[in-house]
Amino acid sequence: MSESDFIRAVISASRTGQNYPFAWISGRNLLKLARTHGLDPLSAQQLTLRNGISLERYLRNYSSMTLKMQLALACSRILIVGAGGLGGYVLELLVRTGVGTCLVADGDVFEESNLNRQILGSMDHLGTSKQKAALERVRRINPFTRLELCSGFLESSDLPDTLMRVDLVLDCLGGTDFRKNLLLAAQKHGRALITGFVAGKTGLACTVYPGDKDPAAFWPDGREQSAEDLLGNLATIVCMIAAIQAQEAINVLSGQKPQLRNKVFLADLDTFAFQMLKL
Amino acid sequence: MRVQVSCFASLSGFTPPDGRMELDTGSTPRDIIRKLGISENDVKIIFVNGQNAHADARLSDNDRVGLFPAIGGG
Repeated sequence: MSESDFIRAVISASRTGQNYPFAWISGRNLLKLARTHGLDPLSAQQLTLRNGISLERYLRNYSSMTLKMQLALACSRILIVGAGGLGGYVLELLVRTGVGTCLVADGDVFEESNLNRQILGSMDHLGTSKQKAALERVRRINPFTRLELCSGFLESSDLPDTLMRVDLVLDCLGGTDFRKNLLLAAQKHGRALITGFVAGKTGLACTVYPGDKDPAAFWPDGREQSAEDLLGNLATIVCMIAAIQAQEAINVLSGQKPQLRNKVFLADLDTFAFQMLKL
Repeated sequence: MRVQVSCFASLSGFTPPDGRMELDTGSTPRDIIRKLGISENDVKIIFVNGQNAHADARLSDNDRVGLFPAIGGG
Protein backbone atom coordinates (compact mmCIF):
# COMPACT_ATOMS: atom_id res chain seq x y z
CA MET A 1 0.00 0.00 0.00
CA SER A 2 1.26 3.48 -0.87
CA GLU A 3 1.63 6.63 1.18
CA SER A 4 -1.35 8.12 -0.64
CA ASP A 5 -3.48 5.13 0.43
CA PHE A 6 -2.36 5.79 3.98
CA ILE A 7 -3.23 9.49 3.79
CA ARG A 8 -6.63 8.69 2.29
CA ALA A 9 -7.28 6.34 5.21
CA VAL A 10 -6.12 9.00 7.68
CA ILE A 11 -8.44 11.60 6.13
CA SER A 12 -11.32 9.19 6.31
CA ALA A 13 -10.62 8.47 10.03
CA SER A 14 -10.08 12.13 10.94
CA ARG A 15 -12.54 14.54 12.52
CA THR A 16 -13.12 18.28 12.35
CA GLY A 17 -14.56 20.82 14.77
CA GLN A 18 -15.31 24.53 15.13
CA ASN A 19 -12.25 25.45 17.15
CA TYR A 20 -9.55 24.19 14.80
CA PRO A 21 -8.86 25.08 11.15
CA PHE A 22 -7.62 21.55 10.44
CA ALA A 23 -8.76 17.96 10.88
CA TRP A 24 -7.27 15.63 13.48
CA ILE A 25 -7.00 11.93 14.15
CA SER A 26 -6.90 10.02 17.42
CA GLY A 27 -3.69 8.30 18.45
CA ARG A 28 -5.32 4.87 18.54
CA ASN A 29 -6.66 5.22 15.00
CA LEU A 30 -3.35 6.52 13.67
CA LEU A 31 -1.42 3.65 15.29
CA LYS A 32 -3.86 1.16 13.78
CA LEU A 33 -3.52 2.71 10.30
CA ALA A 34 0.28 2.86 10.63
CA ARG A 35 0.33 -0.88 11.39
CA THR A 36 -2.01 -1.68 8.50
CA HIS A 37 0.13 0.33 6.07
CA GLY A 38 3.49 -0.95 7.33
CA LEU A 39 4.62 2.38 8.75
CA ASP A 40 6.38 3.02 12.02
CA PRO A 41 4.51 5.43 14.35
CA LEU A 42 6.93 8.34 13.88
CA SER A 43 6.78 8.18 10.07
CA ALA A 44 2.99 7.92 10.24
CA GLN A 45 2.88 11.00 12.45
CA GLN A 46 5.17 12.97 10.14
CA LEU A 47 3.13 12.04 7.03
CA THR A 48 -0.10 12.96 8.77
CA LEU A 49 1.15 16.39 9.87
CA ARG A 50 2.75 17.01 6.48
CA ASN A 51 -0.70 16.53 4.94
CA GLY A 52 -2.25 19.18 7.19
CA ILE A 53 -3.88 16.81 9.68
CA SER A 54 -3.04 17.03 13.36
CA LEU A 55 -3.09 14.40 16.06
CA GLU A 56 -5.76 14.69 18.72
CA ARG A 57 -3.02 14.59 21.38
CA TYR A 58 -1.61 17.91 20.06
CA LEU A 59 -4.89 19.87 19.81
CA ARG A 60 -4.15 21.87 22.95
CA ASN A 61 -0.75 22.86 21.58
CA TYR A 62 -2.69 24.98 19.08
CA SER A 63 -2.54 27.94 18.42
CA SER A 64 0.58 28.55 20.47
CA MET A 65 2.05 25.98 18.12
CA THR A 66 0.92 25.97 14.50
CA LEU A 67 0.70 22.79 12.45
CA LYS A 68 3.92 23.84 10.68
CA MET A 69 5.73 24.13 14.03
CA GLN A 70 4.25 20.80 15.12
CA LEU A 71 5.61 19.17 11.95
CA ALA A 72 9.05 20.75 12.48
CA LEU A 73 9.05 19.34 16.00
CA ALA A 74 8.01 15.88 14.78
CA CYS A 75 10.89 15.90 12.27
CA SER A 76 13.48 16.99 14.83
CA ARG A 77 16.10 14.89 16.57
CA ILE A 78 17.50 15.78 19.96
CA LEU A 79 20.14 14.40 22.32
CA ILE A 80 19.37 14.52 26.04
CA VAL A 81 22.53 13.96 28.05
CA GLY A 82 21.55 12.90 31.57
CA ALA A 83 18.20 11.28 32.41
CA GLY A 84 18.13 12.34 36.07
CA GLY A 85 16.57 15.48 37.53
CA LEU A 86 16.67 17.93 34.62
CA GLY A 87 16.75 15.25 31.92
CA GLY A 88 13.65 13.42 33.16
CA TYR A 89 11.52 16.56 33.09
CA VAL A 90 13.00 17.79 29.80
CA LEU A 91 12.18 14.42 28.23
CA GLU A 92 8.66 14.43 29.68
CA LEU A 93 7.89 17.93 28.36
CA LEU A 94 9.41 17.49 24.91
CA VAL A 95 7.86 14.08 24.32
CA ARG A 96 4.43 15.36 25.34
CA THR A 97 4.83 18.42 23.10
CA GLY A 98 5.74 16.23 20.14
CA VAL A 99 9.51 16.01 19.50
CA GLY A 100 10.07 13.26 16.91
CA THR A 101 13.28 11.53 17.95
CA CYS A 102 15.11 11.63 21.28
CA LEU A 103 18.50 10.07 21.94
CA VAL A 104 19.01 9.61 25.66
CA ALA A 105 22.41 9.06 27.28
CA ASP A 106 22.75 8.06 30.91
CA GLY A 107 24.61 5.04 32.27
CA ASP A 108 23.26 5.43 35.79
CA VAL A 109 20.72 3.40 37.77
CA PHE A 110 18.12 4.81 40.16
CA GLU A 111 18.96 5.21 43.83
CA GLU A 112 16.48 6.10 46.53
CA SER A 113 18.11 9.54 46.98
CA ASN A 114 17.10 10.37 43.38
CA LEU A 115 13.40 10.06 44.13
CA ASN A 116 13.03 13.56 45.65
CA ARG A 117 13.28 15.09 42.16
CA GLN A 118 13.71 12.65 39.30
CA ILE A 119 10.39 12.09 37.56
CA LEU A 120 11.49 8.94 35.73
CA GLY A 121 12.29 7.21 39.01
CA SER A 122 9.94 5.32 41.33
CA MET A 123 10.22 2.71 44.06
CA ASP A 124 9.83 0.09 41.33
CA HIS A 125 12.87 1.46 39.49
CA LEU A 126 15.44 1.33 42.30
CA GLY A 127 18.60 -0.30 40.94
CA THR A 128 17.32 -0.22 37.38
CA SER A 129 18.68 1.78 34.44
CA LYS A 130 17.54 5.38 33.98
CA GLN A 131 17.62 4.88 30.22
CA LYS A 132 15.25 1.91 30.49
CA ALA A 133 12.91 3.96 32.65
CA ALA A 134 12.99 6.66 29.98
CA LEU A 135 12.03 4.14 27.31
CA GLU A 136 9.17 2.79 29.41
CA ARG A 137 7.87 6.30 30.17
CA VAL A 138 8.04 7.51 26.56
CA ARG A 139 6.19 4.44 25.28
CA ARG A 140 3.41 5.15 27.76
CA ILE A 141 3.04 8.88 27.12
CA ASN A 142 3.70 9.27 23.39
CA PRO A 143 4.17 6.22 21.15
CA PHE A 144 4.78 8.57 18.19
CA THR A 145 8.14 9.66 19.62
CA ARG A 146 11.09 7.47 18.71
CA LEU A 147 13.41 6.99 21.66
CA GLU A 148 16.95 5.77 21.00
CA LEU A 149 19.25 4.84 23.86
CA CYS A 150 22.99 5.43 23.88
CA SER A 151 25.17 2.65 25.26
CA GLY A 152 25.36 4.31 28.68
CA PHE A 153 27.40 7.29 29.87
CA LEU A 154 28.74 9.21 26.89
CA GLU A 155 32.52 9.33 26.53
CA SER A 156 34.35 12.07 24.67
CA SER A 157 35.13 9.57 21.91
CA ASP A 158 31.36 8.95 21.41
CA LEU A 159 30.54 12.61 20.89
CA PRO A 160 31.43 13.21 17.21
CA ASP A 161 29.18 10.40 15.89
CA THR A 162 26.41 11.01 18.41
CA LEU A 163 26.26 14.76 17.76
CA MET A 164 26.06 14.27 13.99
CA ARG A 165 22.82 12.31 14.52
CA VAL A 166 20.94 15.20 16.17
CA ASP A 167 19.80 18.79 15.60
CA LEU A 168 20.08 19.98 19.18
CA VAL A 169 21.72 18.95 22.47
CA LEU A 170 20.14 19.24 25.91
CA ASP A 171 22.79 19.29 28.63
CA CYS A 172 20.99 17.83 31.64
CA LEU A 173 24.11 16.59 33.41
CA GLY A 174 24.65 16.96 37.11
CA GLY A 175 27.85 17.35 39.10
CA THR A 176 30.27 16.31 36.42
CA ASP A 177 33.21 17.72 34.50
CA PHE A 178 31.78 16.20 31.33
CA ARG A 179 29.61 19.32 30.82
CA LYS A 180 32.64 21.17 29.46
CA ASN A 181 33.59 18.34 27.06
CA LEU A 182 30.01 18.23 25.79
CA LEU A 183 29.88 22.01 25.30
CA LEU A 184 33.18 22.07 23.38
CA ALA A 185 32.19 19.10 21.22
CA ALA A 186 28.78 20.64 20.41
CA GLN A 187 30.50 23.86 19.34
CA LYS A 188 33.06 21.99 17.27
CA HIS A 189 30.38 20.00 15.46
CA GLY A 190 28.10 22.96 14.82
CA ARG A 191 25.31 21.92 17.20
CA ALA A 192 23.31 24.25 19.46
CA LEU A 193 23.23 23.22 23.12
CA ILE A 194 20.80 24.19 25.87
CA THR A 195 22.24 23.76 29.33
CA GLY A 196 20.65 23.84 32.78
CA PHE A 197 22.37 23.79 36.17
CA VAL A 198 20.95 24.00 39.65
CA ALA A 199 21.87 24.07 43.34
CA GLY A 200 19.47 24.16 46.26
CA LYS A 201 16.70 26.57 45.21
CA THR A 202 18.73 28.40 42.55
CA GLY A 203 18.83 27.42 38.90
CA LEU A 204 20.15 28.75 35.61
CA ALA A 205 19.72 27.98 31.92
CA CYS A 206 21.52 29.11 28.78
CA THR A 207 21.54 28.40 25.04
CA VAL A 208 24.88 28.18 23.27
CA TYR A 209 25.29 28.16 19.47
CA PRO A 210 28.76 27.74 17.98
CA GLY A 211 30.68 30.99 18.56
CA ASP A 212 28.33 32.24 21.32
CA LYS A 213 29.40 33.15 24.82
CA ASP A 214 28.88 30.25 27.23
CA PRO A 215 28.16 29.85 30.95
CA ALA A 216 31.10 27.51 31.74
CA ALA A 217 32.43 30.08 34.25
CA PHE A 218 29.57 29.02 36.58
CA TRP A 219 30.60 25.37 36.59
CA PRO A 220 33.01 23.88 39.13
CA ASP A 221 36.55 23.06 38.01
CA GLY A 222 37.88 19.61 38.84
CA ARG A 223 37.47 18.95 42.54
CA GLU A 224 36.20 22.45 43.35
CA GLN A 225 33.20 22.30 45.66
CA SER A 226 29.92 23.09 43.94
CA ALA A 227 26.95 24.68 45.70
CA GLU A 228 24.70 21.64 45.17
CA ASP A 229 27.11 19.55 47.28
CA LEU A 230 26.11 21.73 50.23
CA LEU A 231 22.51 22.58 49.37
CA GLY A 232 21.20 19.51 47.58
CA ASN A 233 18.75 19.91 44.67
CA LEU A 234 15.06 20.57 45.21
CA ALA A 235 12.48 19.22 42.78
CA THR A 236 10.87 22.66 42.41
CA ILE A 237 13.90 24.36 40.88
CA VAL A 238 14.88 21.27 38.88
CA CYS A 239 11.42 21.18 37.32
CA MET A 240 11.44 24.93 36.64
CA ILE A 241 14.83 24.98 34.92
CA ALA A 242 13.92 21.87 32.91
CA ALA A 243 10.77 23.69 31.75
CA ILE A 244 12.87 26.64 30.60
CA GLN A 245 15.24 24.29 28.75
CA ALA A 246 12.31 22.47 27.14
CA GLN A 247 10.60 25.68 25.98
CA GLU A 248 13.87 26.95 24.55
CA ALA A 249 14.29 23.61 22.74
CA ILE A 250 10.79 24.02 21.28
CA ASN A 251 11.73 27.56 20.17
CA VAL A 252 14.86 26.30 18.42
CA LEU A 253 13.33 23.18 16.86
CA SER A 254 10.14 24.82 15.62
CA GLY A 255 11.94 27.73 13.97
CA GLN A 256 11.21 30.37 16.61
CA LYS A 257 13.81 32.73 18.03
CA PRO A 258 15.89 31.28 20.87
CA GLN A 259 15.72 33.55 23.91
CA LEU A 260 18.80 32.53 25.88
CA ARG A 261 21.75 33.11 23.54
CA ASN A 262 24.60 35.00 25.23
CA LYS A 263 22.35 35.29 28.28
CA VAL A 264 21.63 33.21 31.34
CA PHE A 265 18.14 32.84 32.80
CA LEU A 266 18.34 32.88 36.59
CA ALA A 267 15.60 31.68 38.91
CA ASP A 268 16.09 31.99 42.65
CA LEU A 269 13.31 30.36 44.65
CA ASP A 270 14.76 31.65 47.94
CA THR A 271 13.66 35.17 46.99
CA PHE A 272 11.46 34.48 43.94
CA ALA A 273 13.86 36.63 41.89
CA PHE A 274 13.95 35.93 38.15
CA GLN A 275 16.53 37.66 35.99
CA MET A 276 18.24 37.58 32.61
CA LEU A 277 22.00 37.92 33.02
CA LYS A 278 24.24 38.94 30.10
CA LEU A 279 27.39 36.88 29.52
CA MET B 1 27.60 55.37 47.66
CA ARG B 2 24.95 52.72 48.07
CA VAL B 3 24.75 49.45 46.07
CA GLN B 4 22.36 46.53 46.05
CA VAL B 5 23.98 43.14 46.70
CA SER B 6 22.50 39.67 46.13
CA CYS B 7 24.37 36.51 47.05
CA PHE B 8 23.00 33.31 45.53
CA ALA B 9 22.80 29.60 46.36
CA SER B 10 25.38 28.59 49.02
CA LEU B 11 26.35 32.28 49.42
CA SER B 12 22.78 33.46 50.12
CA GLY B 13 23.44 33.78 53.86
CA PHE B 14 25.91 36.60 53.09
CA THR B 15 23.32 38.86 51.46
CA PRO B 16 23.28 42.03 53.60
CA PRO B 17 20.08 43.07 55.39
CA ASP B 18 17.68 44.64 52.86
CA GLY B 19 20.27 43.74 50.24
CA ARG B 20 21.94 47.15 50.54
CA MET B 21 25.51 48.20 51.38
CA GLU B 22 27.12 51.57 51.91
CA LEU B 23 30.53 51.70 50.20
CA ASP B 24 33.28 54.22 49.55
CA THR B 25 33.36 55.78 46.10
CA GLY B 26 35.42 53.64 43.74
CA SER B 27 34.72 50.38 45.57
CA THR B 28 34.75 47.12 43.64
CA PRO B 29 32.99 43.74 43.91
CA ARG B 30 36.21 42.46 45.54
CA ASP B 31 35.70 45.04 48.34
CA ILE B 32 32.14 43.77 48.82
CA ILE B 33 33.33 40.17 49.02
CA ARG B 34 35.88 41.11 51.70
CA LYS B 35 33.42 43.25 53.67
CA LEU B 36 30.86 40.45 53.73
CA GLY B 37 33.48 37.97 54.94
CA ILE B 38 33.17 35.67 51.93
CA SER B 39 36.23 33.68 50.91
CA GLU B 40 37.24 34.92 47.45
CA ASN B 41 37.66 31.33 46.32
CA ASP B 42 33.99 30.71 47.00
CA VAL B 43 32.85 33.35 44.47
CA LYS B 44 32.87 31.82 41.03
CA ILE B 45 31.23 34.53 38.94
CA ILE B 46 30.10 38.15 39.44
CA PHE B 47 27.42 40.21 37.71
CA VAL B 48 27.01 43.99 37.92
CA ASN B 49 23.68 45.35 36.68
CA GLY B 50 22.98 41.97 35.05
CA GLN B 51 26.26 41.98 33.11
CA ASN B 52 29.18 39.60 33.75
CA ALA B 53 31.84 41.68 35.52
CA HIS B 54 35.37 41.46 36.94
CA ALA B 55 36.05 41.50 40.70
CA ASP B 56 37.98 44.76 40.24
CA ALA B 57 35.32 46.61 38.25
CA ARG B 58 34.67 50.12 39.66
CA LEU B 59 31.14 50.34 41.01
CA SER B 60 28.77 53.31 40.84
CA ASP B 61 25.95 54.49 43.06
CA ASN B 62 22.82 52.27 42.82
CA ASP B 63 24.65 49.44 41.01
CA ARG B 64 23.24 45.93 41.48
CA VAL B 65 25.85 43.29 42.28
CA GLY B 66 25.23 39.52 42.12
CA LEU B 67 27.69 36.98 43.54
CA PHE B 68 27.52 33.30 42.60
CA PRO B 69 29.35 30.18 43.80
CA ALA B 70 30.13 27.31 41.46
CA ILE B 71 26.84 25.65 40.42
CA GLY B 72 26.63 22.47 38.41
CA GLY B 73 23.85 20.25 39.68
CA GLY B 74 21.17 18.64 37.58
